[in-house]
Amino acid sequence: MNIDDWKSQIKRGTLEFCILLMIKQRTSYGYEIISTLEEYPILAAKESTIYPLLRRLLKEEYISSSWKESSEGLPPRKYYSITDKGLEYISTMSDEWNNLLNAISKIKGE
Amino acid sequence: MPVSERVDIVKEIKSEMLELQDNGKKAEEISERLGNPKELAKAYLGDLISNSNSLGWNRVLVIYAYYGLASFSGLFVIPVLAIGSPVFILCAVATPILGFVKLIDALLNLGIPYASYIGISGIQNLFISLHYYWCCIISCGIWLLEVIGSLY
Repeated sequence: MNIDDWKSQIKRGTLEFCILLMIKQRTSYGYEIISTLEEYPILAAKESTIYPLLRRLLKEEYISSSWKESSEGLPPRKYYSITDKGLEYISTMSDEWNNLLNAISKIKGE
Repeated sequence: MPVSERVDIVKEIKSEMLELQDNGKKAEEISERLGNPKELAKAYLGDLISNSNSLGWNRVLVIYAYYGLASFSGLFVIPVLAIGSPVFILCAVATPILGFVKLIDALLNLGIPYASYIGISGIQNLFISLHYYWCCIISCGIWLLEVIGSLY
């Protein structure tokens, strides 16, 4: 049973949605996003996945970024916040996500 | 990838590294966490390549501009430089020699045959030899610039 393969495919599709939802909740920076994702094994992803993904979302203008000074002794952090276009994207994704969940539960016969 | 983007990426990764360090992580742990630098760079580039393969109108224009420039360079710029460079080399050698001959002739009143024809029409005096040296320096300079230019 090759469950890892299937899990990584699920992750690939949902990571974008999860990151956007997190940034929508509150302005966040790369390391914080990665740390939060690490709390959920199914979503845990490495830097080499998250940073390029954030960069792509930035290019597609779903999120915006700004460098902000952090507490003493730490370097500035790059904070990401959601844009209007991003909010629209999230709401469309949420609809599709609900469609998927409904479909699965119907197929299961619940 | 533009420099500003590269700088931004490095700055972001550096920021995380320092943050991890602040959390009490050792250098080995941090580098293990971030993985192979080449893989990380590839992840950034891979995203870029898969994003820019659409053949839109802009892309067609960019390709047209590139080949337009390349063919212009092949048809005009390179032949002109190919003819121009040897001429400048020749001038660079000939001008100081002729200038020196003219100078000796003028100083010592030797009356070397044809030496009186060396010069720029309208200006005939002793100091013309100085002018030749300037020409030489300038033409050498231009030739050097061409060599440097063709290296790029």
